[in-house]
Amino acid sequence: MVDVEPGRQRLRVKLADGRDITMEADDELVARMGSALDRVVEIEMEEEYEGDTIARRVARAMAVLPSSGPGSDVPPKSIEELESEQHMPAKRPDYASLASAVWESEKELAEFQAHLQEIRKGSAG
Amino acid sequence: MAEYIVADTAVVSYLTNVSTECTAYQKLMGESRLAVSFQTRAELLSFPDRYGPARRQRLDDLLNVILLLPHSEATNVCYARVVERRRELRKLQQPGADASDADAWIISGALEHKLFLVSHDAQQVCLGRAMGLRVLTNLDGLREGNPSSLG
Repeated sequence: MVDVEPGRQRLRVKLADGRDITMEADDELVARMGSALDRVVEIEMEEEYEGDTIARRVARAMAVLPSSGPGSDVPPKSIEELESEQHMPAKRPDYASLASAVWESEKELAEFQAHLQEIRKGSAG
Repeated sequence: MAEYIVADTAVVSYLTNVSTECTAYQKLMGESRLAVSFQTRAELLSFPDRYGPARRQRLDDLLNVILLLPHSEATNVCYARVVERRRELRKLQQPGADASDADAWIISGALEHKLFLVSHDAQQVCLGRAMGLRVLTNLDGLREGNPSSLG
């Protein structure tokens, strides 16, 4: 894609749901883009709003996603591999005890549920 | 290898013993171990830091013993199928049509790894089941559709 504005580079990506979006990218990211061509990537992006409209999107970071091949639905790592890589404990953890130390009261749990509802609202498809 | 089940974000929080749902979800999960989507991990980490660093450490302690299902190309492929199914459900005005993108990512992770999902979100449960996923829930009106066993 050609951009005629000097010093300004843009990145166009196809999303998993088929949409295309365009965003600006800084020099550091531009230098790495060649390695991501035609591969599936995860991009950290900032959106600037003017009122309710997105005025500008800027790509901040990019990582090539692990893959078993283009368009493959086979996970690149099995559950056994993930388990070993993430050093899961040999004995089944006491999840209830650990969760109880995070949400100590009904009020805290209700606050978290409200927070979750709020952020899910923002991701309504 | 241990048996894993994917837990939705709300279910992870309902495991606290101050929750009225705690016993029901522990029973549904049985001896399975917990796995979460990258989406759930992000949602848990997004909880405001108002309780201080000690509480944050305890959240990390919990997350460190839950298997993380990372984002991969396979997750994207599954996600594309899930949102297509959601689109069909919308046309038909069927339950699951209002599932969020967050729900779709969580369902995608479970589909990718062919794991059961345990959820307390009605839209997620319905969309997951419409995808052929085995979904457990304690929600009224939906628990009757729980698979009979985890194996």
